[in-house]
Amino acid sequence: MNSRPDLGELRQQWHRQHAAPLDVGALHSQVQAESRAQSRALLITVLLTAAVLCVVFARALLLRTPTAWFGALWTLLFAAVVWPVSLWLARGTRRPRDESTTAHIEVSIRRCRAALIMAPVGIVLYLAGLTSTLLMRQRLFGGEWSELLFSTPMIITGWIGVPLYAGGLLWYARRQRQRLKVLETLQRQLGEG
Amino acid sequence: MPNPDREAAFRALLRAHQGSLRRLAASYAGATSEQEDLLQEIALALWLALPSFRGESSEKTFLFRIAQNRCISHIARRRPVDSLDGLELDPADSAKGPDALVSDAEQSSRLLQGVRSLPLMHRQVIVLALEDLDYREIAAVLGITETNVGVRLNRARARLRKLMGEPA
Repeated sequence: MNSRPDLGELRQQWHRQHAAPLDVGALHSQVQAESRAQSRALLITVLLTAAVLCVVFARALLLRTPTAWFGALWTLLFAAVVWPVSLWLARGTRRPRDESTTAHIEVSIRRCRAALIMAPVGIVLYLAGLTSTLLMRQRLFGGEWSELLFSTPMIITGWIGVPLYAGGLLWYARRQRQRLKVLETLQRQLGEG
Repeated sequence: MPNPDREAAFRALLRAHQGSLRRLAASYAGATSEQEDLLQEIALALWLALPSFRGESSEKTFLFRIAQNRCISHIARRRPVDSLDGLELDPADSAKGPDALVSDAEQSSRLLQGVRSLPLMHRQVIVLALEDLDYREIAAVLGITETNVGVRLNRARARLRKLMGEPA
């Protein structure tokens, strides 16, 4: 077996390309900033969930009204459903089985597929949470539907929140579908040998 | 908390292989800005992977493995852009006459364009071979057998020569 492929002229041409020196210092700073941003993003998600729970429970403790307690418990229930569902969908997508290209593409495909499932699941969970909150509130505490539907929390989380959230998820799903298509093509190419 | 060993290893790795990384980025990204983005992605992936590097493979194999995988993620994400911006001649060639420079630049451009036009399995193997990796190293980077490297490389070479308008 030839251990050093003979590419002669091609190799010379290849190395003739000008490779401007890397600004290693700048690259290092960018990398550290990005690395910190990634850790921060995860921390912010966890902290945000905790903060929302703290706020709704603090509000319930201060107001001591049934509606405030209802809101707090409902938020807790929602978080308790969303986190396990997200973690379950993300299983097997953390790292490739080895460092090869094939394994890297496989795990990237799994990530795309998980994201594609997560997008509609996210919309369904959000709508289910919103609708059930409205229904339960109306059933437990009464009140006019028109009042409930046009209350400030409903305007923010429903009338504004639903289209924004759904639009964002649809855009995200579209990107993931495009990515999946490319990855599947690359996987096919690699399989052809 | 800053880790001086990791930082020193990272800087040394980038300095030692900067030319290869630039050429690798140019094989997967067209515009200069896209190449810079890709280089940054590769650098981030290297930084994150460095703590897991135990020296089981050579430094070169480790670097190319990480970089190749990052390039694939980049292909899967990017919008189609293709140009030969940023491809210049090596300053060391400045002693050559203008005709020779134009000819070298054309040849290098054609080669890079040809490499970019290859399907992934061929592009990976030819780029690594052009970067002076031997069969064993290419096999280790790509996770395939040396025999498979040989087969792919022969096909890639023939296809590349055809793309460049040369007899295979």
